[in-house]
Amino acid sequence: MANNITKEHAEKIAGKLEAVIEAGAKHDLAKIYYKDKRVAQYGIQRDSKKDAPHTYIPGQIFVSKKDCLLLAQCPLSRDGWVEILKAKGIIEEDDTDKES
Amino acid sequence: MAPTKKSIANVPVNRIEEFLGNPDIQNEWKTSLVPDEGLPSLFFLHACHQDAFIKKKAIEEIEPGGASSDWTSLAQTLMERLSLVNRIEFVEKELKNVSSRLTRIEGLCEKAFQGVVCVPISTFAPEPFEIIRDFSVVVQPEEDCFVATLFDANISSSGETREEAVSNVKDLILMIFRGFEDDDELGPAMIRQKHALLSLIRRK
Repeated sequence: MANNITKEHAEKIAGKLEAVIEAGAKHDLAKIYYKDKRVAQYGIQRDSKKDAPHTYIPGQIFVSKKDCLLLAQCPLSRDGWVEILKAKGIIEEDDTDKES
Repeated sequence: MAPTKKSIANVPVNRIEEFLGNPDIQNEWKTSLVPDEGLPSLFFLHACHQDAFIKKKAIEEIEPGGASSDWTSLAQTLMERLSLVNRIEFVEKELKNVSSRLTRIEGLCEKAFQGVVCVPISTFAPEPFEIIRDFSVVVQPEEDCFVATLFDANISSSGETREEAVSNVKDLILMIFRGFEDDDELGPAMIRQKHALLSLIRRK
């Protein structure tokens, strides 16, 4: 369980990636922006315990489970995550000069 | 004075390797070695691991003063047999490896696909959305939950049961669909997700 991604992790990641949270009926939708473009998003289940499994989060933010946990537990920063997405073509290099 | 003759059977294998790789040592040893019963088993066991050219060269070089045609023929036969034995051992070893890997892969596949189901989505009622074409979500058991995924759009959610996972992913699909109705600028992955959803569902 210690290595599983939980709701608590999902919320920490949303905070770290400066996600905009949109509340829904069963989910909060964490929308992640980079240079004003929405580049990723994922659902966080409402009304679930903080240790409720959210094992699908890595696929939604295009990183491995290991990197996802690193994001939640601190060693991986938002900038580090951006670099991973750039390498995968999820974020385009053209956007570089837009972010302040 | 005739050079001192010594048996190659006493030559360590690493020296034979030197012999094979160094023409000077070959010349030096050519005059001081005499083939004996130890020669084929020691020398050719090693030689079997060399390429065909070296084997051939070894046969030519190892006979000081010229070996009898019987000896050459015996050595060649032995080399072929040893080579065959080596190949059989190699194939047996590889077969064992492949067999063990296959068993492991079968186990992993069985585990991976155990309980994986495709659930067709036919309606979003009572929500005001309709389905343009049939699609399914894949529900996979995880350690402590079930994860339902619409792979075409890379949308996943989870639940304690399969039903809950499907219900959650349907909710999330609609939430994301609605989210694309605003004017947000989208990155490549979000554009793909939007197009995938627009090809599957629409507002009534």
